[in-house]
Amino acid sequence: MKSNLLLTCLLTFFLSSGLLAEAETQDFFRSTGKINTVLAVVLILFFVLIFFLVRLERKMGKLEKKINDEYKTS
Amino acid sequence: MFDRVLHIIKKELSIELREKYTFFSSILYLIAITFVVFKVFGKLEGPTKMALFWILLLFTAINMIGFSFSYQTQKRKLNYYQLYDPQELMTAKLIFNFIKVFLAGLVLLLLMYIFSNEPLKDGVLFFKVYILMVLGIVVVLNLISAISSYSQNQNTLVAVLSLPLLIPILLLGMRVSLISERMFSDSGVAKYLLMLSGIDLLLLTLSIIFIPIVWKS
Amino acid sequence: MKLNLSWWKILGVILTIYVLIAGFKVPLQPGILEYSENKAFAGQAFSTDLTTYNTYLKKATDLNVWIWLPNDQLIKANGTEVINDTKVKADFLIPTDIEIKNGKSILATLMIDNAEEGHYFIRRAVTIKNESEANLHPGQFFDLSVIKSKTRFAFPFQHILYETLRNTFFHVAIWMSMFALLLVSCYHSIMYLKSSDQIHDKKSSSLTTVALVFGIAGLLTGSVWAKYTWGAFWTSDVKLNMTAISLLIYFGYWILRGSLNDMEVRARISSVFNLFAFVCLMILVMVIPRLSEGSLHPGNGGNPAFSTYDLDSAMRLVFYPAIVAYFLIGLWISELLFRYAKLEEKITFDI
Repeated sequence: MKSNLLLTCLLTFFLSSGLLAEAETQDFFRSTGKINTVLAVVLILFFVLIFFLVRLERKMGKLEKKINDEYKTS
Repeated sequence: MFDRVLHIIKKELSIELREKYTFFSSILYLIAITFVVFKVFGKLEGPTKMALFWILLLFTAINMIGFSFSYQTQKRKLNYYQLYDPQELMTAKLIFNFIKVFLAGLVLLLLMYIFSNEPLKDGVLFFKVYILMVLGIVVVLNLISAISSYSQNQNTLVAVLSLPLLIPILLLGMRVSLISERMFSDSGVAKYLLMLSGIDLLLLTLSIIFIPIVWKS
Repeated sequence: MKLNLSWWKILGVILTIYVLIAGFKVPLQPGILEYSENKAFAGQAFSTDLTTYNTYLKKATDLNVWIWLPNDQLIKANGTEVINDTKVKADFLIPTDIEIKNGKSILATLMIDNAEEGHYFIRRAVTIKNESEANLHPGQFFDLSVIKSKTRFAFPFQHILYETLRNTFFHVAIWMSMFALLLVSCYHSIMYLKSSDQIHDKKSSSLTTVALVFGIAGLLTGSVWAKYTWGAFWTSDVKLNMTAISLLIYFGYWILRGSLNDMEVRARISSVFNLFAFVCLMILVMVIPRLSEGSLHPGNGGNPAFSTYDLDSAMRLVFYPAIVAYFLIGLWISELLFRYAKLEEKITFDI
C-alpha cells in the first residue's frame, strides 16, 4: 500500500514537472528534431501500463486479504 | 412464418392502440423539443438543420424503441418467449418500430418545414437516405434494447451503448443528407448509399443472428 | 515462486526491447530543416542559408546545392560556403529562361547533395517569379542524373515530423495491437457462445480491459504527438475521434458488464455486445476514412506526412515487430487479469 502511494506521488510529480517544463520552455518538446516528444510518448505509455499494474496489484492485495481472513475465521 | 410475424405486429398494434399515449407523448416530445431548438437557434438552415434533424430523430427513436423490450412486464416477456420464435418476434418488432420511427420522422420533417420555411432541395435522395437511416437506427436500437433489458438501469444504458454504435450510420447519413441539401458536391452519392445499405444489411443479419442468444432465458 | 514463462512472453519482452533500441538508435536520414530565403526572381541573385539535420557538412566532399524545378531541371549553386556541420550558405543566379507556367511563379525544391551523404531536399521551398521578359541570363540546367545517391539504413526524414516519426513504433503500433487484442477477445466471445464455458467469457473480458488500457494510452500519446506536430492536443482529425468513439463503445461494454448481476446472463449478453460492438467498430474504421477530406493522419488527403514514403523498408523492420511485441505484452497482462478473475470467482464461491 505504501509503495503504491509512493508511486502515485512520483507519477503526479513526473507529470506535473513535465507540464511545468512545458510552460517554461515551449521549445523543450520541439528541440533536437522533437525527440523529446518521442520521449514523452514512451513515458506516457510506460506510465499508463504501470498505473494499470498498480491497480491490478491493489486488487490482488484485497484478494489476498480476503483469503487470509478466511483462514483466520475457519 | 410470415403469418406469425404479421400476427405479432397486429398484437403490438393493438397494444399500441390501447396505450395511445406512449406514441403521442413521443410526438409531443418531438414538437416541444423542435420548438425549443427553433427558439434557441432562431433560424434553421443548412448543416445545422440537418444535424438537428438527425439528432432529434435519434433521441426520439431512443425514447420510442429503446425500451421496446422492457415495457413488457416479466410475465409478458415469458409469455412472448413461450409463444413465439425470438427471430420472428424480432422481425415483427423491427417492422413495427420502423413504421413508428418513420412516422415520427415525417412529423419532425413537417415541423422542420414549418419552422424553417424551406422545402427539401432533393426530396428523392433525402427519402432514400431517410429510409436507410431509420432502418439502421431501428436495428441497432432494437438489439441494444433487448441487450439492456436485462439490466436494472436500462434508461441510461440504452443511450450509452447505442450512441457510439450509431455514429458510422449517423456520419454517412449526415453526409448524404447534406448532399441532398446541396451542401456538398454530389460525387459519390451512389457509393455512400451503397455503403449505408451494406451496413444496414450487415447489422440486420447480425441482430437476427444474435437475438435468439440474447432472448434465451 | 513459479513463473509461468511461456515462449511467447519471452518473445514479447525481447521484441519490446528490440523495438525500444532500434526505434531510438536507428538514425534519421539527413534532411533540410530550414532555409532563410524563400523568394527568388529570375535574372537576379538568390542566396539562402540552409540548416540541415543529421549531417556532417564539414567532412562532406563534392558538396553542391541545387534548385530543383518542377520540370525536373536543376539549377546549380555557383557558390556554396559551409559554415558548420549543419549550416551551409548557397548563392544562385536564377536564369531567366526557366519555364514558368500558369501565372507568374513556380515552387521549386531545394536540394543538397554530397559524396558522403547522398542527396536530401525540402519540397516546395522557393517561389521563383519571372518579372522581366528579356532573356538576359540564359542558364545552364542539369538533369537529375547528376545527383549523387547513397542508401543507408535509416528512417526517412519528414518535414514537421522529424524525430517524432519514431512515434509510429509506439503510438501507431499500440493502436494496432489494441485491434489485435479486440480480435482475440471476439474469438473468445464466439467460443463462449458456442460452449457456454465461463473461462472464455473471463478471457474475453480481460482482453477487452487490456485493449481499453492500450486505447487510452493510444489516445494520450496521440494527443501529445498531435500537440507538437499539428499544434493542438485535440484536433478534428477523424482517426483521433475514431479512437475516442471506440473507447466510448468499450466503456459502454464495461458499464453493461457492471450492471448485470447474474453471471451467466452477464457472460452471454456481454459476449453478444462485444461481437456487435466489434463489427460496428470495423464499420467505423472502414467508413470514416472514405468520408474524410483532409485527415491529418498519413495517407489521407493533402498531408505530406508519409504519403511520399509511406512505410519504408527500414521502418517496417521496426513497426511490425512493435505491433507483435505490444500484442504479446497485452496478452500477458490479460492472462494475469484472467487468472485473477478465476481466483476471485473461486474464492467467492468458497466463502
